[in-house]
Amino acid sequence: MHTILEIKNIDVSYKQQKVLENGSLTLKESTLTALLGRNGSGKSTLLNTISGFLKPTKGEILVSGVNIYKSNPATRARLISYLESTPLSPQNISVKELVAFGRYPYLDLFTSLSESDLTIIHSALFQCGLSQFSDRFFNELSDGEKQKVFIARAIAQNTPLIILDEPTSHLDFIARREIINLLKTLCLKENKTIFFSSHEPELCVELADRFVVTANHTFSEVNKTEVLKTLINS
Amino acid sequence: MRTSKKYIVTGLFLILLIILLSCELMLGSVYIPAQNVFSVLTNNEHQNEVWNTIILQSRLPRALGAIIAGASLSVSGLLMQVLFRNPLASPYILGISSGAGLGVALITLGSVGIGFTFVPNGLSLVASAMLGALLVFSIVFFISLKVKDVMTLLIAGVLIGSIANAVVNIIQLHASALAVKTFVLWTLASLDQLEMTDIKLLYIICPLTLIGSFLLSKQLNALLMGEKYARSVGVNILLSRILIILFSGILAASITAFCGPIGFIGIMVPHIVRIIFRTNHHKLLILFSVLIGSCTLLAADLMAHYFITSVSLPINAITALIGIPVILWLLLGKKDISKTI
Repeated sequence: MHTILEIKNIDVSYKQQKVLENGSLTLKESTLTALLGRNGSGKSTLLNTISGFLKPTKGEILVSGVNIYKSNPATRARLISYLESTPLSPQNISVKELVAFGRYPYLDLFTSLSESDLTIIHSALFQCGLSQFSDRFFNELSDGEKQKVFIARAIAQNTPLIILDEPTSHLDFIARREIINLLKTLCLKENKTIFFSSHEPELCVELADRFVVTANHTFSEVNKTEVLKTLINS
Repeated sequence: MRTSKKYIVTGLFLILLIILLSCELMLGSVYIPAQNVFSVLTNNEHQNEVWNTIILQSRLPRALGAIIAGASLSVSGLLMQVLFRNPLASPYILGISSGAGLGVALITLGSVGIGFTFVPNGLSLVASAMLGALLVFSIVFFISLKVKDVMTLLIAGVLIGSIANAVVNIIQLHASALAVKTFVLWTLASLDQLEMTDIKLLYIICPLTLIGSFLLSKQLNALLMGEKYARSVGVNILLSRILIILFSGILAASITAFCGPIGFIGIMVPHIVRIIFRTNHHKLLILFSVLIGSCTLLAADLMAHYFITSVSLPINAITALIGIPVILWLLLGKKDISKTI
């Protein structure tokens, strides 16, 4: 299996304060990895760093072998899709139009969506069970459905790595399970590498393949059996 | 709105545009029948000389001016609303009109202070407004390159506009009554002074900038979801921001220089478009803003000349009197307008 994400000895500071020190991590193709940790332990900071929003002060991050802080925004957007924890919910935009945003890294100034783009968009909607919603207005959907739309957008972006910052917050317990199950399916069927943060260790232990915990100004991988213990002791 | 319905509404607005344009050319202090308007426009000989002059030197430049100014201000306002995610943003939010006002104030009012009286003509008004607008615009543009948060820029723009206004107030205090009247008339905006040479210039600058804005549609769409999100789909935020400010500034400054600070169109039209077409896809928003903006300003100018034929009413009074009830009616029907952008 290919290595998709390679974090080599990074230090990350946020507003002049060191948040993470000397962290390393390697993620392979088709794995669903959960990022756990207390509030303020640096989960979002780590995901922002991987996604290209916050340059590490030391070390480097490679996605599919490409150093993301040495590549342009368009190249990065073809390697990493990122889902915010509290995304905006604009009115007057249909589900299909929003998912189509995922194709933007592949369009230049003068081109608009081609037939193959539309096929990719429809297939992304189908995979997330949203086919019947495609012409609905996005802001009229429930929170769970909205999250699926964002995931469909990430699928349409067609990147090897998908990063999600707390994709299950604000959702009811059935929707949470649906979302994580959907992510799991994407890992298995589409060979995606998915890295998401969460505050639900039980759900993650049940469904994720690998576990990373942020604590004591660094992050490291832990075994399934040690997840809860590490969290409690952190 | 369904696609077929969009085509029908677009068609209706196109017809409305043609009707308004014909009315603008036919109606006024002198009624000129349609076939005569047509023959003047198609350069037919043996025409009434007076009609020739009225149409070619007064009504045609005004009509063409209304179309391009309506279109440009609407798109300029739309760009500002997206950039600042603020439904109240207008083409003048970054101080363009205050800067133009400062330029005009200096030339109409300020000359008294340095010991001579300068009677401004059309060209000097345009030039001073343009210079004033460019001065404020360059300052704001320079700030936009430095700041990270777009809200800082919004506040800076408002503050710099206020400085320009403060200087205008001081100048006004020392100016003659006649000079103050000239200045006040300029602030009320008008299309009457437009000449064909102005129109030619506007029809080069504005359409190019409108095309530029249209090509930014994808970036504008992505910005709907916030800057971070836009970056994650590969949008170069800094470049997009610079282009949005540049295009909006060019549109607002060139129209303000030639016509004065035409109000309300830039705020009102993007909302009307969003409410009628229920879309936030910027390709459509820009196209419809051009169309409906042209119609709105044409209609306003028609009213400015039709009701009282002896004197033309100020455009800003008309856009406010007619436009505000319309926009209020549309707004009151919406539950959560703050989320429409």
